[in-house]
Amino acid sequence: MTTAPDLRTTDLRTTDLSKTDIDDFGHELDRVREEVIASRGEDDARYIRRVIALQRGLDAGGRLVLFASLLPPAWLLGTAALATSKILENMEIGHNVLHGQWDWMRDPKIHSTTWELDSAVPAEQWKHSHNYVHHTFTNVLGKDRDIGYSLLRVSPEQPWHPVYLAQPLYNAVLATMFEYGIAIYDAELERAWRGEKTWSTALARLRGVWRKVRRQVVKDYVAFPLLAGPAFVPVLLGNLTANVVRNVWAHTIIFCGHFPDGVEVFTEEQMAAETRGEWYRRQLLGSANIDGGPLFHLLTGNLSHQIEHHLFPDLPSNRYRQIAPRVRDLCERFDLPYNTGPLLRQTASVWRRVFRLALPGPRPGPASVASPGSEPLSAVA
Amino acid sequence: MLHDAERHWRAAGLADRLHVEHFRPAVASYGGVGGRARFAKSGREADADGGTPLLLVGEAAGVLRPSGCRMGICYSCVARLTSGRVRDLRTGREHGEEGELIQTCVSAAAGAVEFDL
Repeated sequence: MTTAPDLRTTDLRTTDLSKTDIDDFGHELDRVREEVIASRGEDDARYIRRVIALQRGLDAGGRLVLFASLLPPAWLLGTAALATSKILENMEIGHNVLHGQWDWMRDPKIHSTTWELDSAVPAEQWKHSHNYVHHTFTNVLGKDRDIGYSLLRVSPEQPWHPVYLAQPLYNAVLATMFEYGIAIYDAELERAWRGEKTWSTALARLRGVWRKVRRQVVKDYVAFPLLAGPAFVPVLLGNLTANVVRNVWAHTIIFCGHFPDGVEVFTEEQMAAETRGEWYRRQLLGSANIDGGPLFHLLTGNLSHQIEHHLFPDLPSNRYRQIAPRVRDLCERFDLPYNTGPLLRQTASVWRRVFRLALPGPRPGPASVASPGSEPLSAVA
Repeated sequence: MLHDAERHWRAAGLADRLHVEHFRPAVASYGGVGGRARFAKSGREADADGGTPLLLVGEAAGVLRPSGCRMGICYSCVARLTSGRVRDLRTGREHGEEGELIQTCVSAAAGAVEFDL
């Protein structure tokens, strides 16, 4: 477990790794990547096809059982199956397919250019805001909109505003409606509000979102309930519950990826002259893992291996668990923190931060001008 | 050239409609022998050296299309290869089959290539 100080901006020029070490660190990680790519094959393809078959079985089975949902046990079973199906589809399948993790199979049905998510967000918009903006500019203030999702203050470097006083409340609301938060995210409404882009551009994106939302709403809240005839209401409630469960789960896991204590943020200047090794280091220091067993990793879409995912966004997700010990060994060898912990601890850490940063302060850690050897602030007391 | 474009769009009051990105090459280069690159749909072609990403070769020839990270992670710039082979500039590995979708920002021509662009 890392002992990295809380809530600070790292100064890459004053951290202790030499240029050679950083280069070596980068080369070692490149080697890990190349080894996985060289050994990708039939076993991996079988894995993703099995997960997709499992997910479709859960989806079909869940919806079928829900037709009998006038009986409470059927409602519970059907809803649980459907929620699990949506979690698998969004997290282990959709998110990873859209990263191009399975493009090498050259299966047009399991491909980043053709997959559409069972969620309110249109895949094309997701790929822009997530694959490009978030994964390229990870944790760079002013560039990575995922730092608080333009809604929350999760880093003391973000200037405080009274609106953040209510952020514990609206973070809880966001958790239940997470798919819609993600859906409108790429419209970048806050940038239109600040005049950085036109409202017409933002609204054009929202029209795309609306078309996708309408399809999802018709499917889950009109078509399937109607098919159930007398069970219209329980089916509708089952679908609603499945969507909310998926939302809360995805929100919980995703927030553990970048907001627990010890995760660091960076400035644009730090990113400007980055070498490959430094790029890897930013991805490492900007991400956090969650400990757990194989079933847990599957249900998080392997985002429990957020560090490995950020180092290698397009490697097949089933390989993250396999390379994690090597990445961790490398961190130890190069004296870099590897932020991981059980779900409960990482989640508690995220919420502590959401509550603490609702209030003004604390003073941000040493910015990019810190003198060599200065002690970083341990911000959250 | 980019600056002229920005100035022009700003003068027209449309600065926010122009998407401009400045990049430094982030990929380690494993160059090789290049070749003629043809972009079939747009009817353009250019000489592609073995160390320059095909995305840049295309842009220089006026084939403008979506792109993102320019370091091989976001998959915004994939394009369909219709003939020839390419080299992955990160690993030096040569690959390419007809119909394969190629990450053009980290791939250079390995001989003559044609894209469905």
